Amino acid sequence: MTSLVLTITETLRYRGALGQWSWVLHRVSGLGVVLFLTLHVIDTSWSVFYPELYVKAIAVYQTPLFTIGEFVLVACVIYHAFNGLRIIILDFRPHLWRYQARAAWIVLGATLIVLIPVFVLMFGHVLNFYNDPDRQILSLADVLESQLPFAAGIAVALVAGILYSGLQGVIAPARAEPGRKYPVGSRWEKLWWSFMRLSGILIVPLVFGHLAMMHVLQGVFDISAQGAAVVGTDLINQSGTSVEFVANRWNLLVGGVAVWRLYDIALLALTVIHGFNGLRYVLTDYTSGSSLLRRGMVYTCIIGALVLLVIGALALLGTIDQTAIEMARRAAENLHP
Amino acid sequence: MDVTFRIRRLNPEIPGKDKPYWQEFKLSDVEPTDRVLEMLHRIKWEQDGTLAFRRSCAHGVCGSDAMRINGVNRLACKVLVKDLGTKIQVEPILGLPVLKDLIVDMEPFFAHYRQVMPFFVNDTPLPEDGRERLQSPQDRELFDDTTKCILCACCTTACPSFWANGSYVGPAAIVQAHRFIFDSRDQAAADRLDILAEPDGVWRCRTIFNCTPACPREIEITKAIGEVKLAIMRGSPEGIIQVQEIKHEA
Amino acid sequence: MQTHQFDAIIVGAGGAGLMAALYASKGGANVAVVSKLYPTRSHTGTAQGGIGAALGNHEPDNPLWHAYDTVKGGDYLADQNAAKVLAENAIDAVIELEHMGLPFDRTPEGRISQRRFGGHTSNFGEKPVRRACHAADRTGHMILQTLYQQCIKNEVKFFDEYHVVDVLMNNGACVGVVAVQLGTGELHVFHGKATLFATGGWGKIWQVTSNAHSLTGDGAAITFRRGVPLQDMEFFQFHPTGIYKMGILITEGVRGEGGVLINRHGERFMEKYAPRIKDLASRDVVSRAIYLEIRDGNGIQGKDYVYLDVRPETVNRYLAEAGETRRVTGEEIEKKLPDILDFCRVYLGVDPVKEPMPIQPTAHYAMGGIPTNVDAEVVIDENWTVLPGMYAAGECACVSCHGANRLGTNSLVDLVVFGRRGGMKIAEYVKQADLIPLPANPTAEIEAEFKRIRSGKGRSKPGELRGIMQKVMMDYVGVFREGAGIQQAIDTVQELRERYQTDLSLDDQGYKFNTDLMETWELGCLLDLAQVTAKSALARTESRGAHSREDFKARDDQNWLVHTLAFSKLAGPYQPGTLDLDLNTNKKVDLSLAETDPRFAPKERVY
Repeated sequence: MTSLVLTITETLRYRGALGQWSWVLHRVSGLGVVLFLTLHVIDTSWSVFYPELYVKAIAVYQTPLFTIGEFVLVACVIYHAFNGLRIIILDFRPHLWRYQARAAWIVLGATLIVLIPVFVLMFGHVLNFYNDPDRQILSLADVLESQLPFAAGIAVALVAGILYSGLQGVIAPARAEPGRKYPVGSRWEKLWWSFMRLSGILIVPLVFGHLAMMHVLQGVFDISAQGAAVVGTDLINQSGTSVEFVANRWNLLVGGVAVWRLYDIALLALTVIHGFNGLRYVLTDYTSGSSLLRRGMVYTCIIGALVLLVIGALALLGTIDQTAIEMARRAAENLHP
Repeated sequence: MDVTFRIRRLNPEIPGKDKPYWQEFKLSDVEPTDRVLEMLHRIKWEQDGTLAFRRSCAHGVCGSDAMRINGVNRLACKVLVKDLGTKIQVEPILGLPVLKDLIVDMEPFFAHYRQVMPFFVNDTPLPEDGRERLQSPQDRELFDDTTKCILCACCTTACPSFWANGSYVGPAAIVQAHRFIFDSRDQAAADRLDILAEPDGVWRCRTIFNCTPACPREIEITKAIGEVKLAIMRGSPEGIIQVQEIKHEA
Repeated sequence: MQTHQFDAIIVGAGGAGLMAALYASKGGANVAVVSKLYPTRSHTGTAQGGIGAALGNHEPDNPLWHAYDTVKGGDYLADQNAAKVLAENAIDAVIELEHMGLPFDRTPEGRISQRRFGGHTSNFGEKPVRRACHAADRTGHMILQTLYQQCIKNEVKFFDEYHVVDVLMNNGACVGVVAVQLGTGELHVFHGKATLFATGGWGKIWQVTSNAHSLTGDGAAITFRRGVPLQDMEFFQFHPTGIYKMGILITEGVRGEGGVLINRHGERFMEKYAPRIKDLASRDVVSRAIYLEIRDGNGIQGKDYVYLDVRPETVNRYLAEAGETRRVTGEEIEKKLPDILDFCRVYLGVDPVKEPMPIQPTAHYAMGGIPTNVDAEVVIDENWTVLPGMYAAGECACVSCHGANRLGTNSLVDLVVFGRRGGMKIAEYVKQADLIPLPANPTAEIEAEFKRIRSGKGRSKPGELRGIMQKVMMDYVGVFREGAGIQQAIDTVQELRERYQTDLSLDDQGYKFNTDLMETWELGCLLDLAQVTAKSALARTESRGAHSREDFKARDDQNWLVHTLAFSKLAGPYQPGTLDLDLNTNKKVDLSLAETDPRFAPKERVY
């Protein structure tokens, strides 16, 4: 923790060049995206397991706090994607380092250029929603309360990781290997390094497509709009529930293939692994002073990623039937009596 | 001209001064071309003999006097007053324990250096004619840049990854490894690549690029680290660095 | 106090020290290197041009030619047996450095690349020869790095930032040293069978020097205080072109490209002093000329510097005047002298292509030092009597292979050749020698001296004393000397020594990294060495090589083909009072090569 504080204060004090700030933005944006990803995978799974909860989750997304968050999220994703590409290029063409600062400016510029129309479109959705006299908004207290389980879950993952690490320390303490003069390389870091770059490249089109559909062409407000077209399908959301929206998309078959389920499985696997490995980089960077914490952070990341992968996969393999939609409809009514 | 120095100080032996604190010194008759090192000497010799810092050659070759000057790592002997203005802030380099004033404990830094097998290895028989091993000018050029390193620690202590995690070998050690990994005469590249493939090896480099501008010898450090990463990925240093045609002296 | 025991103790971790450590440990000795700096900070690292060795990679070369150039460059004061060893061993030493991984530049065939250097010729002065093996313009840096790397590989034990402050003698032999651990201020005794000093030079005696701040002659001073003589101290090389005030070297290559020296009147003054070859005269001649101009008030703005002008318009004007057809452009100069341009731009904010560079002679290299034989064993009289257990190599030693004036590149040759020989000799010696016990209370004297310095409550700040010494030595025992001036320097230094002994004022009373204390102790070394230098200079009534007396302008081979041995007459190392010397001039220069080859016989030095 001290090393985190030190890094933050000294990064602010050190008059590093643009590269330093690109790194800061990359980390911060990555952390932001991972946090949202955690919420998003879990609550989307509720459309299969707990339709009432999913309805509430979408309602939460339609509050001002989350609307602001959505803008930030989109900015984070776009910056992280562009800067990630800059890093990948420099990693594989080190001799281009002289252009790194220029590339960092280009990343910033490109992010802004993309964000302007995106924000205009997104803002249109917001205006649309708030101009609607029938709009119904959850109170801030409701919103915060609904996040408590997530906070608790994250805390549990952290504690579990550290506990497991402690347990491992007791049962199988790291053995100093006598006679080994130099450490022997670990293949894993090398694989992770490649994975981050490869997955990064694959994620960019997937996530940009996802953002375009869910946040730009349509807004989060359209998910629960009765009679609205469901993006990526030729269906209409007849019940006006978010559960039906999801059901319509996941049940779409093109040539016998559930294309959106496949798309989301790819997105889920790549972003969760990429995101949680990135999180491991960040967390282990600042816990290197204690092997207990350092190992604990690795386990926390593994737990987090496994939970999301399992829950997400189960949901993507599950079915949403008419009963679920009906439950959602009733839940929506109860939400805003 | 008059210059005000603000120096980060610490004296472990004096109660009250054993935590870092700032102290200001005023100097007059400063020439714009004076080096910061000379000004530190003037402070030490004229005002306060207790000020402690390392120095030796005073022209940017020995690497003793790495400090953070006006927010960036420099050699005090290689930065002039005119490039800093009349308010100059000097503090120890970050990431190594401060022992006294501007003196930091260099042992962890040299320990990382020693970790990467920073020495030439070639156990094949020497040439039979008793002469030098041959190496083409092209092969010699591949690692020319990294032979310039003077181990001043400016790069390593400019790296946020190193600040956060002192067990990261750091840019300087990787530069030193690079000098041997890409030397066609050396035979231990595979061992060094293994060492640097450790979690605290090259992978802790997040391409932040603070090291490269901090280098007083203008070594392309982040590029060198990148080349080592690629060598690990490909399992061999062959073909990673492309050199332009070498011109020969007549 | 802690005591450490090793077979061999190497004091100083520059080229000579590391070379000795490496060869002693390869020879089976248990070696400790004790150094006040981290090894890579040593001054060997600043050497640029190259290391001379008659490899003949470009054109025919012969070690005998190298020996001849060395003897002639040394104005025939060099011991010819040592010059021969130097030239012959240089080849093996350089090849071994390559085998240790030193990244020499390469010829198209892949061999070590060599370049020309001042004074190095083929066939006994016939024409310049490519003899200097180089690694870009950082040959010294690469030598230092390579040797340190190899020491790490061989697991040599290093005591970094341990400042050696006294040498221990018992039963007429050297048994070790006392060092201050800088981080704690604690004294450590290093007890061993063999001790090698490789502590470098003492350029800090002078105001303007190319030398590092740490070059304070510690090794030479502490052995001198314990009764070992210092040899040929009057010979100290001044390089003509150092950057004004900073002393940083500007290579002779600038003048090689056509650069000229200019005084305040815009005059190319070298025409007066060396009408034939002008600015390309030898180092001592040019340094003398600049010094005279400054003294005559012809320095720029009346100050103590002149201009080195390599602007294309200036160079071309003089080329035209000389009737030459060659012309230079800014781009050419840019290409040929990149590092010098960089130095000037960084340190002076001067672009040499557009403005002249302010330069002045800069104290550069000690030819004299602790007398040794060719195996780096310290010898304490004219009969070459070896002091058991004590060795010296590198700049602090005087073999003497450089005589009265060192040839360019030969400092690096000296380091590796005699460091290597010393290391080998030590490995041999420690196998058969017994460990002589330490004297009683080994640290008592040095402890008392430190106590005295640390508690100084007088009025003299060490920085002030050092400044006065540097100024007076620069003015009177510099490039150009004259009896009365030297006497003035002697008197001033004596006065400073008295103030040093009775009137010191110190700010830092602590123990950890007390740099104030250590600098003050170093000042004591400098004062002693300054006094020995000045007194040796006063005694030598001739001009030879780097020692030029205005009152004795001629070289006097009749009386002065001898080395000066200076002994301290003080009863102990820290005795107060005047530093009187016993100056012995009975040690004759070795002329063994001249005995069989008349080309080595002393004659007038003409290039």
